Amino acid sequence: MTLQFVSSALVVYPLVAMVLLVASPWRSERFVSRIVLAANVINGGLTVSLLGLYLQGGLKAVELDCGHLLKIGDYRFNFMLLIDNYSVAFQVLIGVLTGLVLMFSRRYMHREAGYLRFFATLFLFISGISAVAMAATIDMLFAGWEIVGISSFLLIGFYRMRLQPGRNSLRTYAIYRVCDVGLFMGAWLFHKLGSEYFFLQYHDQPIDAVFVSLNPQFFTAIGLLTVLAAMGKSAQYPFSFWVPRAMEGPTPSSAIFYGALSIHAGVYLLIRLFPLWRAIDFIPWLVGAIGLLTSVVASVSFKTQSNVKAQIGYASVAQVGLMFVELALGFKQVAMLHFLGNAVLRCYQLLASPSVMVMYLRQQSEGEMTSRGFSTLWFRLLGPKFKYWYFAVSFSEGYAEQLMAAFWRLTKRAARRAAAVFSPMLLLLLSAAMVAVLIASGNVLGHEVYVYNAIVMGLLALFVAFAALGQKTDAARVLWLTALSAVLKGVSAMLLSPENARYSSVYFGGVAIGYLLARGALMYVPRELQTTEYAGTADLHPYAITVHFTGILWMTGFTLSPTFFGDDLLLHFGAEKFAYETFFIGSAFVLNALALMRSYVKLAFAK
Amino acid sequence: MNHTQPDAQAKQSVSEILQELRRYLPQQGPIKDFIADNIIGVFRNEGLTFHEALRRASSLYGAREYRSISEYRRSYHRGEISGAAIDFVVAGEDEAESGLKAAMLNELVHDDVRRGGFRSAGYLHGMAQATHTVLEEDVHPVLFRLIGNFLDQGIAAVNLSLHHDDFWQAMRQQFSVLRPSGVSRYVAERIQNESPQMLVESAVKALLPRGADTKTFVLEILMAARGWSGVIAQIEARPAYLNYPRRITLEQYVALYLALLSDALIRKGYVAASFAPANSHAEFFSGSAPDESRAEKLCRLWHDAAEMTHYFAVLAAIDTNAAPPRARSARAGTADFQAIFCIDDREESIRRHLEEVNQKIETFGAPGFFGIDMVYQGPFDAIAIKQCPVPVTPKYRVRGIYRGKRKVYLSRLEMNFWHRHGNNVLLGSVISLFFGLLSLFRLGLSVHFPSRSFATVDSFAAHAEATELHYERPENAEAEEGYFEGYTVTEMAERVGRVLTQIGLRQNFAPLVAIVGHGSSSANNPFFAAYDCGACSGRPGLANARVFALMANRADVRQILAAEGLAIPEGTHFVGALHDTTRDEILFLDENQIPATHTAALSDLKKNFATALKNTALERSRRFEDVPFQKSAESAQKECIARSEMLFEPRPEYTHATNSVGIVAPRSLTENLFLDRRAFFNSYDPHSDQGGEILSQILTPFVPVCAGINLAYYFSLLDNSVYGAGSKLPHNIFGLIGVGNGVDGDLRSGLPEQMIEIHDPFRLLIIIEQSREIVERVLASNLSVAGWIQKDWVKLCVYDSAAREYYWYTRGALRAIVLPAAAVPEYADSFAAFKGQRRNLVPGAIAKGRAT
Repeated sequence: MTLQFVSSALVVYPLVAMVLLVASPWRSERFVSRIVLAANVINGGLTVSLLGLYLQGGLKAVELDCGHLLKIGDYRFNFMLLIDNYSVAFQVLIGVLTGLVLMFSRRYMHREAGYLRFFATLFLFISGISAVAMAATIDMLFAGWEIVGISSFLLIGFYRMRLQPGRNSLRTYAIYRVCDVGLFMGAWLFHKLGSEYFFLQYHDQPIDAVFVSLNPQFFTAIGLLTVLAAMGKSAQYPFSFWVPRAMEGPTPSSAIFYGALSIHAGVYLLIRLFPLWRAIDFIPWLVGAIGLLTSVVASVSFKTQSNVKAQIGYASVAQVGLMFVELALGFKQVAMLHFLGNAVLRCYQLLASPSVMVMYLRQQSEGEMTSRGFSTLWFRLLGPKFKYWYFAVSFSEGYAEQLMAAFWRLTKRAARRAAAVFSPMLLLLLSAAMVAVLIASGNVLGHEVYVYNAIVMGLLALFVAFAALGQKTDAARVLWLTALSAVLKGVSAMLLSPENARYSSVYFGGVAIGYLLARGALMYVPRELQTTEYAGTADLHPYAITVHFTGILWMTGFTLSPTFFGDDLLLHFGAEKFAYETFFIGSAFVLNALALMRSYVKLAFAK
Repeated sequence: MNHTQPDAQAKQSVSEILQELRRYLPQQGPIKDFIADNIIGVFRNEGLTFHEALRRASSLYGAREYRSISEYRRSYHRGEISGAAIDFVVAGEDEAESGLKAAMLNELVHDDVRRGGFRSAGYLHGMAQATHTVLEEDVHPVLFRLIGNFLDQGIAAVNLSLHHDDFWQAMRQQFSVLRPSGVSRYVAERIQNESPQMLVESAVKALLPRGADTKTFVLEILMAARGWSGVIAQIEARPAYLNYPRRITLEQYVALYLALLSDALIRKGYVAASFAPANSHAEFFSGSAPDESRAEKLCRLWHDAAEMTHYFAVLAAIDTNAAPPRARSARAGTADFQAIFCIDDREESIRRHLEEVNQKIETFGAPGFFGIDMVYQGPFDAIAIKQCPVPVTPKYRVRGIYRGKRKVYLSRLEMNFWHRHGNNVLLGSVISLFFGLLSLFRLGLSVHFPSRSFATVDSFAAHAEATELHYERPENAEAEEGYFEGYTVTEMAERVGRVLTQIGLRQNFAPLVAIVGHGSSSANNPFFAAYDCGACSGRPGLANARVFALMANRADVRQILAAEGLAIPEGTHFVGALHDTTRDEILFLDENQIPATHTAALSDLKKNFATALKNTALERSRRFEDVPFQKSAESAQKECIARSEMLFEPRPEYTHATNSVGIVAPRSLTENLFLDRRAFFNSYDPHSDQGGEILSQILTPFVPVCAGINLAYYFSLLDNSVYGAGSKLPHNIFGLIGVGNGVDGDLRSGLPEQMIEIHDPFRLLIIIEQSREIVERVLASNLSVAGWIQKDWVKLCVYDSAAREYYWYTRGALRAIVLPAAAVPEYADSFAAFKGQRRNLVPGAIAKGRAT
């Protein structure tokens, strides 16, 4: 067995297991449980082999080219893995921890409705987080990153008969998505920067200062975008409040996601791109400040949490904040060790969290009282009013949610206004006319004008995406408005690079298939359910909803769909022309996905 | 309180309304004292019959009333509901209707039998709909967090109660300095300026359109979050429920709810004047049950027929034991050992297996607190814990006194290390940085090699080897802190005598009598209290068994008893024991006090117990579908022990699930019957109770306790999303008070899915061996017991052993019935009965161990 086989198998085996579960005609718990056991044996073998081979190779960092998934023109989507100390450490942790959680859940989830769904989603997640751990290119990392986001969304919303898991999964997804745009646009800039920056291996050395000084705005943008992406996944202030609210799924899923692996993905991203965001002087300061603020806010918020899962969540976030500080100070190895230790500890704590009832009560009945109250020293130092200030900040979780809620309200208001400007049909006609005019104008005014046309088109895509988000509950209408926005987005990218327009069929094909799947599935859902808020359709029409969701994933450019490669392809060609146009495309990318997921949650959840 | 008189209602003050409505909230306190109880008991108290209550409960809670009619029909076609039972039920209808059986089988009616409920329609629902307000998002999170934080019993280090021990005052103090997010200026000002009562009155006036009914609206608000409002009502009524008492009232809760609701509605442009929903719940306050619909009638008949099928099977099995009438077991007089167990249905199997193992063991059933009405305070306990049934108010305290050096528990240190210091930001950084990976090792151990740890509850824990009991009090010592410190000798004799007389053990004592309490061990289980002994208020019955044995062994106690005609021979020794129902292990107590003459007998008894426990484990393990059938009794016991230690086992045992029968009779009536762990037993000698006083004494706690357990399981199964706690798997612990979903969900009362999934929703059938006249006399005099039976909350069958007649209680009287002919399965032994079976089994007769 070669290192190449072992490491790529670690990304692929969970996908195979997932497909086996989803596609097989056997749906019984016993069958699922056997597949899980088999997959876990493979997981164990591969993880041990990876560690063994890496040690045998003398801890040498290698980049493994495992072939490409897509090749069009000079564009290749490479399946490339980077094996070094960090990725092996992370991957081994993933292997061991998921191994334990799989064994834990196999029995814990016994007889639960959705047994198969739980493990299929968990496997999807394992594949994604492994891709993040071992990615050698920014594209690959982004692919894994997206999988982690979607599987989080699915497991937070595991219980679909209640409303709250739906709202909270959407909340987390929104934060993920907004921050992911950092990585999305960052990736585009990477393309622009040139192919050598595309590979993460080279990020082990500091970046040539001369090169940085030639492109300061570029490196600043990339650095800030990377930090934004890391902040979202790792729940740094002001995004920190999603962690406790994500504790809606079965306990093992909370443990592996918010206790252990996905919350540290941001730290890992900063470790991977270490020299890149350190190329600009002020960014490490920023990272350190964010980390410190998060740590303080989280440890203060921790104090008033009266439920155990939120408490562990904030304890974990406080440590992640410290890791940001360590990274800012340049202690990469310390941060890595801290992250591994914290991941395991919080996972363990969450798995054992129902026991606090017993543990604390036993202590109380024996007269060992919980440490509670404010320490008197603080009182004396800060005056009698201090305790009210402390309580308010703690209870408000640093006002993070209030901040984000205000932002969300503004977005929604803008969206509602946008939706009210044109009727959807008018919007369609207008868009079609614009596309025709803008494409034709190139033939008259010359191809140079396309760049500006692309911006106009990007703006239009953004506007339509807003309109989609602002729609009243109506799944079908949201679906076709987002499809329109996706098409406009594609045209916009195409205009940036008309000579490569023929390659855009991958993208448009992906969007079209996604739309047809999602729309087709809606035919099996009665019209009045589609327009009812929280209709609880998942319970009534489970298959239709599964297909509908798959279609949505394809439309939003989910990793395993052609749209994803199409997006990447457009990005590859377009970036050569005009990098800042990505802002519109990136924003449309976020809003479209939000509109679709929101409509999905309202369609599928509660009753 | 008729809704047609709005004027009369308008005069009712808020506190009066709340006083009236609080009874509709779950009567469940903090989860540490989990007691299974009749979930819709309020409607029993209103005097409704069982089926009427189902309808009325559905119109309040919106829960299912019955299984769907198609499910019943499928059961019938599978043969699980018998034709004879249907005929019996149809014949018992008040008004005869031709073709009723055909209608049950074929008539087209709605499948999901339920009524609206206060959450799905009404003023509150209408207001939310009209303004696109989502209560779960706009009102509940901050409300639950404020209350959860204030009531917190040890999770949150900083809480509102540090400002003031009264909720309202604490909020006022906090808001006057700084408002936390979620509390708008509007809300803060209203709390600042108004008393809870004023706030409720003015908010109701402002929110409701003219002519709307306040009481309905308030009830809708209470129903919107039944979990929290129920807990608050409980805490208000009994502050001692909490280790750290808090002052909070239901009125304050409703006031805060209304302040937040008004805020949310005003923001969204709500105007009361333009809001005009009809009162869709007006009929609820008429106090009577809604009329029965056709679908309800058919479902009711199906339900009764399903129950009847089961009852007939049980009675047919009992009928095989019907002759000759005896006062006790056929083994009385020849037994080497006697063992008194709790009436708990889980003890059915251990008694049967013991009797199969050894012909010379006689068993009895008595409530597992063994008449010791005490609070117990262990040597290291800061708090005295109640160890007797819920309705009993204990006046006696027994203390454990520890002689020797106190052990340091490694598990305690470990817990503090990971779960307390690990959460602190600074200590936690050291722990996660340097020791974090060690917890991987710990987790690996817990998953692959489960063992006892800080996460497990241990039923034997209360027994420290060197703990002495202080249970004796001099004749004239007065009460301190509201408790007598122990019992006087007279009081001891009174208690020992009463228990022995009730179970009919007044002569023919064996040399060794074991008093077997029970408890349960489990891991990662917030519902641990629901697994222990119900007669000991959800605690293991260890201390009670121990105290009883100590008392019964005293010469002075025996002297008093002998004077009353209850002569315990000098050669008889009582020994206390605790049966762990999860692990199927037993611990004998005070072994050092066993006289030398009895040590050999004790070791024999231990051997018998060891075999019987393994066999019980084997029998129980058939229900665990997540593991294959066990090959041997040894492996079954290993499996059971492992389950009690696994962090990832939500079903350490099935507790009372499947319970369906309560039997008050001598053992001779049930001896050698396979009742599949479904029956509560109280031993009773009908021949020595010609006045019925003993029967009345037994039934007074037996009926409410057993029926309470039975109905708790019944309703949690019937509609788990309403009456139950949902799945255990996503549960989160709130303030050491209860469990809920997510971080801002409502508290969940009732039992979780994992505890009830194998249950059958049957009411309890009480079977009494006694003559009809005596039972009728008892029912006439004991009204509290009669109420349960008359209103159909439990079913009653009386067996008259002298006449060999069965009497069925129906339409207010005991009427003779003829059991339909049925073939009762006969098994060589218990193994033959359950081998290779997962499902609930038909009762049968067992040949092994049968007295000849």
